[in-house]
Amino acid sequence: MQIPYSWLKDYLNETDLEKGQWTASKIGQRLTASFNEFEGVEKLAFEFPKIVVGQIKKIEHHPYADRLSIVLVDIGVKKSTIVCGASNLYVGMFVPVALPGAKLGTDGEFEIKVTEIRGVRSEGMICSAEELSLEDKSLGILDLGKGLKAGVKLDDAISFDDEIMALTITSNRADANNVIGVAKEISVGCNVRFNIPKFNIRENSPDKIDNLIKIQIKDASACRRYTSRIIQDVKIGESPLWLKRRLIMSGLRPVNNVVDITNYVLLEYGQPMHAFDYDLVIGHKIVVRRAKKGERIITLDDQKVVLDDEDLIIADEKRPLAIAGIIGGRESSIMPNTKTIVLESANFARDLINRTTKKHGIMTDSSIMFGKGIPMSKTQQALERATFLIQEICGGQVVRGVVDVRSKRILQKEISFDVQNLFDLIGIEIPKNSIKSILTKLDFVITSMVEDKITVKIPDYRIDIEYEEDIFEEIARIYGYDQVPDQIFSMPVTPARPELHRRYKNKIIRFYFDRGWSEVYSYNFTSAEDTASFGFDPAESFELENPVDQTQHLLRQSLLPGLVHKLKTWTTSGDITSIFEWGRVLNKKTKPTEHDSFATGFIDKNLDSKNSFLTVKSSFEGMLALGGLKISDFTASRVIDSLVDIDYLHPYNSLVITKGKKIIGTIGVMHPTLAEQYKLPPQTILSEFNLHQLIPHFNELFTFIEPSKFPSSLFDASFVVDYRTMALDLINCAHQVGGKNLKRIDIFDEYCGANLGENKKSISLRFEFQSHDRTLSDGEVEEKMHKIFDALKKEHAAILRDK
Amino acid sequence: MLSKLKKIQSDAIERIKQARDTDTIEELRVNFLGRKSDLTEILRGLSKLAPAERPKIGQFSNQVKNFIEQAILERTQYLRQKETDSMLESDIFDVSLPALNYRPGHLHPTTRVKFALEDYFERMGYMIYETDNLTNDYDNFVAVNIPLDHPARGMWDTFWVKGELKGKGKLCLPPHTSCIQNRILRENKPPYKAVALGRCFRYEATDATHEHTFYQIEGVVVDKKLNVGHLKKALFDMVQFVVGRPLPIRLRPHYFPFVEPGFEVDVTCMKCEGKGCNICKGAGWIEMLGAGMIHQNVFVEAGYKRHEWTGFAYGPGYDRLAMTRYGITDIRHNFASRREFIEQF
Ligand SMILES: [Zn+2]
Repeated sequence: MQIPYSWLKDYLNETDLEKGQWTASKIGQRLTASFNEFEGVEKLAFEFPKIVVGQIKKIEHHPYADRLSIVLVDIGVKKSTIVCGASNLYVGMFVPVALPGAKLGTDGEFEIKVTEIRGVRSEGMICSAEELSLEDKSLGILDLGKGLKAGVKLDDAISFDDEIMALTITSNRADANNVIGVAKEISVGCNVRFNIPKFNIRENSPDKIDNLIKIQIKDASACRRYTSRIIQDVKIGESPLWLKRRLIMSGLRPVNNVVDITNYVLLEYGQPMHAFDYDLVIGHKIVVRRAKKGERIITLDDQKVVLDDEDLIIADEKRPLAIAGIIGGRESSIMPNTKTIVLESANFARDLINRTTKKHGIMTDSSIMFGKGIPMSKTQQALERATFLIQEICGGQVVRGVVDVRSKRILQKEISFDVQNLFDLIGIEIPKNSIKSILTKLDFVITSMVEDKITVKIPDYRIDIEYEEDIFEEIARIYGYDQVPDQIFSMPVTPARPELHRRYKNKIIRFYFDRGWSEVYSYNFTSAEDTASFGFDPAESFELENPVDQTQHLLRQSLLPGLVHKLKTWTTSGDITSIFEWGRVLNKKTKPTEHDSFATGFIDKNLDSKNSFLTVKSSFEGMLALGGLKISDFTASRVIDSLVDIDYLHPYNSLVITKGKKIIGTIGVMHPTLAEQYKLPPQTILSEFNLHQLIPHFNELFTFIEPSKFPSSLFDASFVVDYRTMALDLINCAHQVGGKNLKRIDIFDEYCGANLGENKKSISLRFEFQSHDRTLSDGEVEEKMHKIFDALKKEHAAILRDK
Repeated sequence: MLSKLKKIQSDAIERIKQARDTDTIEELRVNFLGRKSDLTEILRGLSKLAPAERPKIGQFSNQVKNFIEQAILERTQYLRQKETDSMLESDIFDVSLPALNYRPGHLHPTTRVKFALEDYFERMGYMIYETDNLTNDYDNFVAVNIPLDHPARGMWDTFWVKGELKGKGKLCLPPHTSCIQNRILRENKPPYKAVALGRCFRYEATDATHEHTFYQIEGVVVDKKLNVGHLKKALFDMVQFVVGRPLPIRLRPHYFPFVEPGFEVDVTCMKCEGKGCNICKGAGWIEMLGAGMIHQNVFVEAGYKRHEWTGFAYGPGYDRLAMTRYGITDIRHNFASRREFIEQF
């Protein structure tokens, strides 16, 4: 919040401030340590070039225009003649004068020039606050008050030497989010006496309030207290400059004197108030009740609100006058001709105000204040303050008596604590007399103090204080956290959590980094289009209620759409792009709904798709080796041969890695149609793995087998097969019939050529046989090989090539 | 005879000097010292000489032999060295050429800091957790002393997700890593130290200093009689590790519903060391994290008896730590992840 320093000084002892050499910024620094964060000191942001203070010397009627006056104004260096249409001018009045060359309007679009108005020369303009953009609507010329000097710049006249203190008040200290609350904290934190200005209300009307109005609370749990005063014969008009100035410096815009005063008291006390036009309250009866379902009100800002039976309203005999604690209705609002006003200062239930605010989307300073909770004691204090100011500023007679309807008195809370607990929590022994003095200054009443046991009464405005720890914080923050020494703690060492998942994930990230991959981050948010383009069902995506970008309203099911967008930006520079991302993905249908994913994207403009794929595969196989695994530990098949739908990959030039029914991951050439859609080259390689499925298979508990002492026999053979056949399938098939002595099969050549026939290719394999207990005979090996040839022929139509 | 020997010696020395390679030297060795050489002849014929001459000639012959052998040795060494030198010069290649089969990889700066912090906390004996991206009302709010209708709920601009988790309330993205406090408290028997790292989300517009997706660490330490002094020390040590220097920190009172007392923690500005500069906007301090003593209500909600245990918690944003550490001033670089950015790390 922003508070003019002058306003705070009203509540602080001047001698003490001087003695401590306190300045606004020094106070601010102290508040940062003892209370809440101080953001700095600012000067008023308004500047008024070529606008000066003028004093009116003479007013004459314009000879040719009834509504205009010819005004002689002293502007210091000389006296100027200015034609003016306002009616609130008087001789001796100090007014803002825009000199020729001054620029008015919100964007300075209106330049003041020397002109002739109906035949009379006018050398400038006498301004209202509206014309200076200080408020939205002015009723007359801005009266700058008394004791000014003609000719001084308006900037100086308005801001004087005042400063604005900017503070961030935490939500638990709503009680201090006002001038008095901050002044109180300054008083305690800076050790300056708190000064309560005195004011007296003169109840100078013959009428008694009970005879003028009846107030009834129908729902005591929603409205815990309602106080009211009536002031007669008020004059609605401009607020004096000092009041306007404080409002403007606090970030509010002046409206008229009554509204300005309720706003002023809101800032000063933190208590929202409302003023009704007495003559517009039908039946002179105010009822605080729940609305009837469908009841309507037009608010001060011209919104039509249809209420329901939970909303609390202030009503007269016939209709709603205001939505309680949130906003007033237009029909009973203060108008320029209002004579008698009914002031309301009440306490409404926090939760109810929050719900109604949210439901109707109406957020006001009042609803924010009530939404944070306001102590009951403020209700009448604020009423008295506002009544006093109205009488001072708007004139009128205050009706005798106050209406004060309250449901129940809330007992002042008491908390007992042991000072030893305080020392234990804060880590320092605070002298008991310091404890006593801090608590007393903060308005806590110490009701008993027996040895280490202290009992205090909590001031009613401190609704944030619930537990002894809350009191310990109060003591410690004033005493100073800088007093607390660092302390070392030691704990028994407990066995580490196994945490294999995170450890292997980090290893995988580092492995890809070592292999020349670069890591990118993208958002969890994605569009339905991207989700669907990659073949994921948007209906299975979790959906945000409040997305920042309406097109990015789904939570990603896969890292790939995000990664593909990154691929696009990366490939604009450089021949090779190899990027990866890890992170969480979500799907409503899977169990669990969230898992860790790892995805890669690869483009090498100088490689074909086959070699690009094999390059990416080398990283993948290396990564598996981290966990002691090989591809052959899983089931690997082309997308087209697998049981799952993977729409984003080329159906043939791709691998789906599975274990049982679980999909571990995919790796392959991006589907050409999709690549075209995203304007990526056809050799783009994508892969994605479910780390929560993969990592549990990682197992570095190898079992050593003593190498055989007997020689191995090698057997090379080439097969002609259909060009779509995978060498891996041949190997798997061979292993099934090769017996336990078939140690390994290596692929040493793959070849396509016209001589092989249409749609054929040749695969050359090297078979290695070895026994652990004897040297294998040629006959044995050949017998096995024939079995293998037969099986390959039967299963894969593989024809043995002659050498 | 002596003159003949002298002649042999001078001839040999002359020719050894002129030898250009080790093969020639080998030839010379055979010529001058071999079985058929003149010198060998003379040595062999010593017995035929007159006894008076014998010792003198014999001694001189041996001198000549040693002299020639020495000359051959020196010349051989010299020529070998020369041969090695020329061999080395014959196959020079450019060692500044790019490494074969190597492409430099790059880690995101936030990941680098995450790894560093995980190492640090592991060495300090902390258990490490990771937070989820989809959480719920209970874990984020109710469990950490922010019940429904709590006025402080407005402090978190939460992304809500359609749907509900039975018994845990509405779904949401975690606005803070405190969503894991309840789980850590329930899963472990005190005393313990744990940290959780993860992505957090706040509903706000993105600009140079604000990002709706960011990273936090949640430190949770539970034991008997922990106090603000212990928290201060733990924070000081961690900050020292991150910035690499023992920079003073300060605690400012602040309100977070799950701690009491609660703090915002400032670290002395790394650039100006507290004097005030443009980075710290003249304050000399940089706000780094929130912290505090765990609220007893949080313990009670996790099934602990009130006042049986104490603890502290703290939550720095580690993407911000990375920015401080590497001098990144625009937070939008993190998720734009452009080549020009990532390839610097
Ligand atoms: Zn600095």
